[in-house]
Amino acid sequence: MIHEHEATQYASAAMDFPLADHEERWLQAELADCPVCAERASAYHEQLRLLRRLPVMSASDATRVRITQAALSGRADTRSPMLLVLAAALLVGLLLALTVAAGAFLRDDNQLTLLDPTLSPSIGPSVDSIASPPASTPIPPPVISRGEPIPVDSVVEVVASDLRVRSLPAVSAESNKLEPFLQPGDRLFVMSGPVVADDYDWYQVVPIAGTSRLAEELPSGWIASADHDGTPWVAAAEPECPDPVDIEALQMQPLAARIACFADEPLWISAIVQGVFTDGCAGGPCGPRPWTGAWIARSDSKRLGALNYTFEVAVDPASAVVAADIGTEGLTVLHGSFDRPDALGCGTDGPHPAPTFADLVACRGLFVVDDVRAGPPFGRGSIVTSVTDGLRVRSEPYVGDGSTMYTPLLGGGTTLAIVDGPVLASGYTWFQVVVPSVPRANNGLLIGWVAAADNDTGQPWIGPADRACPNPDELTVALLSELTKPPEIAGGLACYGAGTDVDGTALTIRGRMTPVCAEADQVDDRDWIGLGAMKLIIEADGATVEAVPHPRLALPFGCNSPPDETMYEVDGHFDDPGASLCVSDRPERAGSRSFDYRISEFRCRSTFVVSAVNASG
Amino acid sequence: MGDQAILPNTSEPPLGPLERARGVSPEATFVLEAFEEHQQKLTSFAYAMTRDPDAADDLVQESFLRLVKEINNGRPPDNVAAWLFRVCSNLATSRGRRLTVAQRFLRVQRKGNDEPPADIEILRREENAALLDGLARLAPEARAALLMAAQGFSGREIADALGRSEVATRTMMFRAREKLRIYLVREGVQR
Repeated sequence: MIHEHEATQYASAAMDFPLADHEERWLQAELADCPVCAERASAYHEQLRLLRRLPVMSASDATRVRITQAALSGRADTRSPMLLVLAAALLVGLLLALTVAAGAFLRDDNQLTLLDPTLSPSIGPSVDSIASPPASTPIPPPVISRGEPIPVDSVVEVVASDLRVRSLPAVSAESNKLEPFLQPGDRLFVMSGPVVADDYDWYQVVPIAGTSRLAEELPSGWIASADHDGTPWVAAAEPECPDPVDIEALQMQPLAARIACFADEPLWISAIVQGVFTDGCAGGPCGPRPWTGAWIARSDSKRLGALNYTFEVAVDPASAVVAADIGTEGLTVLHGSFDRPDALGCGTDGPHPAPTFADLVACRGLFVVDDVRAGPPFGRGSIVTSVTDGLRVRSEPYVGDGSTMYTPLLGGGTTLAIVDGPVLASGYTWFQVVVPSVPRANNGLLIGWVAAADNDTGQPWIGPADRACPNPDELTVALLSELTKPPEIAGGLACYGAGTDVDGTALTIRGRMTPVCAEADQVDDRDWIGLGAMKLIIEADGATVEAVPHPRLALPFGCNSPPDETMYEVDGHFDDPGASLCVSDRPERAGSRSFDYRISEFRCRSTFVVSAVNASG
Repeated sequence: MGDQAILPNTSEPPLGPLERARGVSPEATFVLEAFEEHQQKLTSFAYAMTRDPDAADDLVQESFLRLVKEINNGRPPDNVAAWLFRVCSNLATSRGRRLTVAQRFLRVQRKGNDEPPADIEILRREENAALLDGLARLAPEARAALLMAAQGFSGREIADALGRSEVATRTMMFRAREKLRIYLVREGVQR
């Protein structure tokens, strides 16, 4: 049994997680017995000390001021002090204008229409609030709008400065003035309207994009679409929608923007699920509250924890999907839609207070899953094969200028070792791969990112390694040699490595052995598999396999021993855990500071490690 | 208290938030106390994530603004520190992806090279630079995990904050420590 990797892993875990008593005892025994493990455990603690000694920094005064403002005002907008000064100046100007207008009010009670709309058109409906009707004035009933109404569920762009948002479609004391003002370029999703009141056409809107602020920092509520003289304060616009549609882009969109972009269009989206949460809202967007009425909100909506974000979904109870289907970690492909008709039922029943407008937006903007499919089952360490001709390898996992296109294009049947991923970007699912058949300078290999499938047709571009693997009980040196010889050196790994049926089983071959000492300047405790390791050349029937002995193996000969004719029964394996610590291709040897250790790890995983040797006569 | 009384006078040094908070709502007090308690750790964390003091300040500001929104929406986090680190980590990884951080990072490097430090500081700065360089080579979530561990968060809190299972977090942190160790050995910071 090889414990080195396991011991260091436990040593790391013990720094963050409580270990059971028996685990603690085992770890201490291992560390006492394994100097390399103890050294690494010590190095991890030293790392922690170094990290704690990093310079302590403080938030700037500007940040301190803004957080104080936000906390005290209860508004998390990010207006700068300068903007506040400007706003104050505007208010003073407004009061002066009001003083001038006061005479007009005294002469004629028809109030607002006497204000010259051209004097300050940019102020918009906020002017009206200064001359609000009495507090007891009822909100007028909705009537059909005059002129061309703005369609519900469309998007408009603000074209006037300082457009006021109100809590109700009226200029009255009950209709609160919400802050901050909207500014030209801010985009709004129209939820309902028009309501005609106080000689304005009012629309209920949700901001979906801000010019100087995040949409979430702008108020939702009612706006007037134009001045009394018809000067428009908003104009029809198109939402900015992600293309291609991927989960990262979707989760960055405000909820209403999702409705504006996709309505109830069926979508397939890929997600890399790393955890599923059904409780609380910490750290992520919070979905509908459980007391809202529709099943969408009551269905234990789930937040899928992905690489850098969370994305909330609900499960359609009429579908065959069960919650557990989307509770699986890994790459998952979800089918469903936003803006389900059921969302309109949010809050229509139940004993709780009526839901807010925001609840309805949250229900409409929730992605409802009605089908789930598992993504490509390729984990890190998998050996796969290209199943298309002309597969492109890129330097970065996206399509764009910063992602270099490597050559050559890979033909069908090329073996690839997955070393990282998946990553969702540009509409594709990407895996980082080492391509053993494409050598690079300084003992390197081609390494880069490939897309797993066509994003239009779903046609896979990489698939499970399709290789004829010899029966492990009938393995010979010749068969093993075929699997491990260049250019595709990963055959042993693909047939007998992690994730295969025989993972963990000792492979036995028979042959003569010739030891080869490591070069003196390459000996390194941390490097017992790679370039600095002692090698064993196993030979039988004219075929040879290069292997390395595990450091705990007591060999019956030294590395300087002359070859003899003794036949040995040799047990070994691929994919030794020590490969993850392999630093064999040291940068100084490779002559490159940017050497990629993943290539080194791949080479070490592909190496046949001898764990037992017995003379077989 | 009227708005005029609580608006900051930007021509004077900012008052301590708690001084301003006297007599204000419990929600505001909650945020301001959280700010006083966590801003330094969070700023240091954000700097180690981005290597850019301006970006770090932005991230901290955004994290606390989101805290204000959460609290005003009646959703105060149970564990404020973990919540803030999670939000800041998410913001850092999404903002810092690819070009933005790369470009800022280059600027910081150039800026840093212009000012030769005093001798006593050179070793420490080189050590810190190597450490930050090593961290920058880790995946963002792995970087966040190690930094959160250094800030005293438990493994479970880190797993919760990153949205991963505890087993996955253990494995990720082990690999990250090992990668960092190898890098620091290479750079001569660790043996």
